[in-house]
Amino acid sequence: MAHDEHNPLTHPEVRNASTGLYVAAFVLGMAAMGIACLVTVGFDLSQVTILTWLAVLAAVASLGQLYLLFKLDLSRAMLWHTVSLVLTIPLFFMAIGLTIFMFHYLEARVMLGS
Amino acid sequence: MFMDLQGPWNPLLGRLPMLLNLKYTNPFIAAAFAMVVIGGIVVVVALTYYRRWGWLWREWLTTVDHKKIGIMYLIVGLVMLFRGFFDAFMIRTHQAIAVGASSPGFLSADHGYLPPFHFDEVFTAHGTIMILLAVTPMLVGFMNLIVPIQIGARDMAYPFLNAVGLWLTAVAAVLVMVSLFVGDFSHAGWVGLTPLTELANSPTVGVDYWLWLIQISSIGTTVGAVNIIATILKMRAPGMTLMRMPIFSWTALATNIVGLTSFPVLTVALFLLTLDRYIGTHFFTADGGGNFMMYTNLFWIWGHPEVYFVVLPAFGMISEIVPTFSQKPLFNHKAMIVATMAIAGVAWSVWLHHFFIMGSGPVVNSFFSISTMLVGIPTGVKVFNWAFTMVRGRVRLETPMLWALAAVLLLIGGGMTGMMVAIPAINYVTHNSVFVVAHFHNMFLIIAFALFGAVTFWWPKAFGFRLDERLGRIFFWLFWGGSVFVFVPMYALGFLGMTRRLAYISHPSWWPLLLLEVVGIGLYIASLAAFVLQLVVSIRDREKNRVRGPDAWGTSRSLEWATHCPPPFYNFAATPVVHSYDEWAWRRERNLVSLVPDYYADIHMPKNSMVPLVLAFFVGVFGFAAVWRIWWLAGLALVGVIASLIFRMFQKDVDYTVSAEEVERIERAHLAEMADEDTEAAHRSADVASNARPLTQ
Amino acid sequence: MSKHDTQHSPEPVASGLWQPEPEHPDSIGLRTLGFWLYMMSDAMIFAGLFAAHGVYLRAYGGSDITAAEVIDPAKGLIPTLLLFTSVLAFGLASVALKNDDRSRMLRWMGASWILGLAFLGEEVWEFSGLAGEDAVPQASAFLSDFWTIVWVHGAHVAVGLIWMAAMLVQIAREGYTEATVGRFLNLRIFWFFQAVIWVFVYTFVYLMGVS
Repeated sequence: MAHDEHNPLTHPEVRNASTGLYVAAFVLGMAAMGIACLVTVGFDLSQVTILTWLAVLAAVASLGQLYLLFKLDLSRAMLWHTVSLVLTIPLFFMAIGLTIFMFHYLEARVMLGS
Repeated sequence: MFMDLQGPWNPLLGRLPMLLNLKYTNPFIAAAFAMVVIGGIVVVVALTYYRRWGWLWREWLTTVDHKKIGIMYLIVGLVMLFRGFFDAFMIRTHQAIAVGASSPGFLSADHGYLPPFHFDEVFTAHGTIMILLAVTPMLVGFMNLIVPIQIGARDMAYPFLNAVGLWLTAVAAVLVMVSLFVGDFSHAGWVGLTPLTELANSPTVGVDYWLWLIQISSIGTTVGAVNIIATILKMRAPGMTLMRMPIFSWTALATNIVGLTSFPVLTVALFLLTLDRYIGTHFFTADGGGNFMMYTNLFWIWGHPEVYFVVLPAFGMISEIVPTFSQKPLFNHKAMIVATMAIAGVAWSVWLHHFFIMGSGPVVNSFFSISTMLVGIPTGVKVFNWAFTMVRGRVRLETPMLWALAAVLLLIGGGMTGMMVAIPAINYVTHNSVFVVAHFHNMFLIIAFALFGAVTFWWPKAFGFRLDERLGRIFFWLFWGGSVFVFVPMYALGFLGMTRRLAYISHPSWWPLLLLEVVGIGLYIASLAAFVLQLVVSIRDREKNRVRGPDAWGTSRSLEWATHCPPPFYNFAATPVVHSYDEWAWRRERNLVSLVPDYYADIHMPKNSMVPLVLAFFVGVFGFAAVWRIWWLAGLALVGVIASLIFRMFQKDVDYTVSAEEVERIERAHLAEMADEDTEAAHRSADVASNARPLTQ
Repeated sequence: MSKHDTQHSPEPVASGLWQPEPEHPDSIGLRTLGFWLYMMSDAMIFAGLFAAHGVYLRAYGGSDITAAEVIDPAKGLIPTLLLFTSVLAFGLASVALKNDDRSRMLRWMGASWILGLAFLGEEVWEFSGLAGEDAVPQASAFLSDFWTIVWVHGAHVAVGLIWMAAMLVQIAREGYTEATVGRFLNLRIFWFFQAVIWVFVYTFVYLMGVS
């Protein structure tokens, strides 16, 4: 609220900004995406191998960015941010995973040849 | 880029010229239109005559006070509940007439009085309205009204957003009412099954109305969910650890976590359908590689969590009412918290049980069947906890308790039939039958009963006087009778094989049961009359039913009872310090029930704002323009939305301070008023010596 | 009840029951928590889209345009680079905020804005090329899905750009108040999140599409 005389720049979420972490996030993200691109088009790998690589690299890049950019931890300021993210991630993958699970079986049973 | 449309379209008026071809001969729509117009004129004239426009604007339309917003949510919900109930009345009476080949037909219908297309619109409107615009606003209303007081907060975390959520919900309600008179409404069921809802199969604007009103109301719900979660996580009074938080607030937290994460998936499902209808993509079409089961899948990814979104707060209300009228703490409230969160968690892995018959096979069906049955465990824990709360308690059967107990009984019935339809083998038989309809109405009745119980229970907290007890009982018993007469025959009809959504019933042997359901609807009408009468009589006799002191029931337990009835706009003169799970009961047992703090201090409060109203107005215009494909108007409305948001961003003067002296003056005035009334009451009643409140029984 | 107390002794009756000290709510923390919760909700929008994507990967229908023809993973690295750089610039703006250096902060934010605009421009260019080859969303379910996912992300970036422009003006005019700093931190969450979501878009859509 505007009446508060606290200096907003002392807030922990302002203080946690860091050039090093942001550069690290940038390098990590670009490197992971570059390698992922190379794995996909540069070599003649089997699909399972590519998908495994992609999953691992996407996980590294996204989790790395989440940590480095948002400085998520269990401190007082960031506790609920972290908890809500940790609770959302399973839902994110359940929605995707269970959908693919059911449509995979559906396709095998009733949509042959599609 | 845009789809070719059947019927006229021009750049200036969009599809509105279509209206020239429609016929306004239906007497029901004419009557409803007349009712809305007359009601509107009466309200406008009354406001002008009593010079209440300024009051309405200052006190209600621009308010950011969570209590008033909660009350307005409840009003929107109640009005839409009546509208949805009228749809139900039409469905039931129509079905009772349209039985057998020789049944009479009225008003251009071959059988009954609703032509099939109109009948389809009616049941679609019934489902959509009841779930999204009646039950949801009422629950959100109670969460708004009660949660901040129950956790000892001054207001919600984001009072401004709270008002935005309210007005978006109201705009969605306005759109559904507009669709009644301007154009038509969706005829594809509240689920909106594809490819029936594709433009080729539903060429009119009905489905578009349905799409946009749900999108708008779900933005409102999402905004509200963010608000309530943040309020609960960050604004609890000192001493109120999560384990000391009352169950209703816990269920509010769980339900809004569910809502926050599931509504976006609905947004996606409807957005993809919108793209199909507006620009001709191929998500859910039968051709072009589309997959219409994907729509069903996305819809129920939201749809099932939505079921828990609406039922969890109802469980919370029951958990507040039962201990109060058993004069005992809630049995094992930690198990209750765990059960609530468990239900919210499992909610995310059960949705395929709405379409077992899709044919994904035994592996998939078994997975979802088992996870569905798991829901029964925490729900059972809740039922036993409520039962054990009553064991050896001093149970008083006042009206809120009656509603709560009936809700528990309904939960047992609805839960059992739920377990039945969770078995795929049974589900293949009952799918699409009225057995399923009876089951989910049974579950929704739990919510209705809990809601009416909560209305009676928290009415004195919100308005300072109690509702009439005798009429409340009459309302309850009539409503209970209606529920039995409508839904027990409906279960039976489901067993007999009647499918849902029939505009014509070919089986004359079902007629007696259908007539019994009409008896039930008659009881429902009588019960609603009793409800209206109860409200009128209670408001008339409000001085007689006035609540003195903070605790309206004498045995209330949680923190919302530790402030005045009704609470002042700042809720608590000083923030309460919480010592126990049942804080108010804890204070009552130690005789620490004074509301006078050690000293008063300044209070920061948010200022009223008209931006939410303006924002919602632009959103409503956008919705209407999008339905009728008036692109220039939709664009302008969108610019209006962005402009109002940026205007708000640059507003500086958004809060003010209530001085300590002012707070003290308000508090003293209130306490003195209470004391005066107590003195008067002392002369009237010989019972004042008793420390407990005189009970109504 | 309290009636006897209040009638006869308005003085404090018990201490430790009420906390009358004026609180100093952490308004910035409250703001960012709410916006973070909203971003969780937003992430679920992408969960729904990706769930659909898993099924539409090869849903060409009658169209003969395949994923390999419309997706070039190497070219997709250009928007990746633009967006990640924009995020990096925004991060440096928030470092400047920490150091109370307003002119540097505004410059980095301006850089971030231009890079974000370049990202959008690159996508417009890429997709207008696709439209020229008749690879429009109306052609098949796969293309509907491809266009929708990329452009839902693009719409987020566009909203972020409008917001960032308003933010630039506000901070230039009003400096650092609790309101502007809180809003800036929300924008930071929003902008950083677009990078995280882009990791998924690039992996799921661009790379998995051609694997």
